[in-house]
Amino acid sequence: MIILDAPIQQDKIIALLNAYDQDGVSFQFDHKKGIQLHFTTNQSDLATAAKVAKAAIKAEPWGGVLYFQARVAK
Amino acid sequence: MNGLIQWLEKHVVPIATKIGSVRWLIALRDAFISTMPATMAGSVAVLLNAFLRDIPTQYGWTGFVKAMQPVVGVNSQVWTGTLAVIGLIFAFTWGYNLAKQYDVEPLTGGIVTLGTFLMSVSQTFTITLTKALPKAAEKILTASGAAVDGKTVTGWGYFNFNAHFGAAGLFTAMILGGLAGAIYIILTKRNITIKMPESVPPAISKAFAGIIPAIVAWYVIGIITYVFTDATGTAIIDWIGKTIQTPLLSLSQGYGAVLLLTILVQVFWFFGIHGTNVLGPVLDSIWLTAQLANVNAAAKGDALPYLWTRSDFDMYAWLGGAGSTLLLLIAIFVFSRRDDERTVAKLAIAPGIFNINEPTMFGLPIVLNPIYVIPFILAPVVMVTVAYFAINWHLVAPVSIQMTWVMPPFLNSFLATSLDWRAPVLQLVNAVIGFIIYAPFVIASNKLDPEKLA
Repeated sequence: MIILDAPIQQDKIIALLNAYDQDGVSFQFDHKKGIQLHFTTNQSDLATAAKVAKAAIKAEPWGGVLYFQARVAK
Repeated sequence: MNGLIQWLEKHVVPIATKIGSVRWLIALRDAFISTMPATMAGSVAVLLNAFLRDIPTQYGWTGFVKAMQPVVGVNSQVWTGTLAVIGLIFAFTWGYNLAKQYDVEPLTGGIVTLGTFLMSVSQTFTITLTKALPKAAEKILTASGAAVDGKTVTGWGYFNFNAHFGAAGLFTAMILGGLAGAIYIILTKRNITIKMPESVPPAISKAFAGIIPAIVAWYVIGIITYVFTDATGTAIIDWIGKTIQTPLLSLSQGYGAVLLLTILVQVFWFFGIHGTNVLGPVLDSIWLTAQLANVNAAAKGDALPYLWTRSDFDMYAWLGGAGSTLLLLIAIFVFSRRDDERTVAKLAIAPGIFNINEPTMFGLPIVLNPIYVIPFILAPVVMVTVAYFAINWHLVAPVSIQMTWVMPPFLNSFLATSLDWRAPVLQLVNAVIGFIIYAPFVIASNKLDPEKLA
């Protein structure tokens, strides 16, 4: 499980990552807790998956200005 | 809170997104960031010379200064190749990043804007003497490239390195480089280029593709600078410096501008928008330019031209990161009875010392946390006010050395002000103020159930 601490644009983030399927990496929204968005991923390397998720969001026109973090759930 | 978030997403985020996705602004921000190796190397050289020359000279340690002369000389060389020519360096990074944003060959873009910048700088001089020079002196001048005609000495190819290549040239580089860069990009995008067969190596093909757009860009700027200088007798760089750069930087020195920027950044951060990213072009083009002018003035032993610069925000308003969250962490250690907050504080204190505050911002969290919205915005506002007037009343020296933003508090201000002990004292005063502002809200948060906040 990876967590995205993202206070705004949560719907867009969920939609983006749910639809993400590149280089064999995919995400599935699991649940929300406050500003935390929890996603499952098909990757065993969760740290890399978190980086991929962050890069995907940052690549979007609306994502470049967001202040958020992507991390591995403990 | 949900209603507020929806309102933000509908009205504020699109504006921030628009600002944050303007390619010119991104290029401008990245162009300044690209100069960082040069600005930091130059700052280190200025700082070392402060230790080895300026401060010992104040104490009359002439023997030490003399012994250190070779090291001072090396530092001066480093400064000459970096900060002293930061306008020239920026002229290249600006075109490079602008071209990169528009997916055209960036190297040519950088070359175009660099050449443009040099066109804006006066390169001739004429001196009228009161009496003719002796033959020996005339011979020396002629050998160095000048022409002597009776009492008149003229020269060509003499750039005024001291007056134009430093921070004073930044706005000219931005404006004329922007125009030249736009011409280069538009013509390249419209395929007004020399096309080579596919068998030609890419490096050669790219260079050929840039020939026509670059020539047009340079000729347009060449005509502008020539006509301007011919008509006014003034180099365009001097005119831009006098009529645009100096007045704009003077505006940035007002309390209103400093306060407005501080509030905007805080509000953006609190609502999950990258404040310094969105406002980076303003911060860098205005206050970083002022800072670079100060560092260069310090290196030359001149009076510092500006009181408030880019690093002042980091040092006095954002101790431990935006919102001065380091002070919140200390307040949590002292007052918090909540295990969750104390755990986050323990994890966040080490990065916080280096002004990295993501663990605090998202761990507590502060972002969108109604408990901390007031101190998160209020603390920097009060702190920036105290620092602004302390510096304006000359109680603390202005910044004269550039510091990287990850330099820990107290050390950063001490070094940035060329070892003015009053700067860390001012930071300490601000730290106490910020701590006092945060404390009641930490105490209030003791009464809240963390589960309900989530």
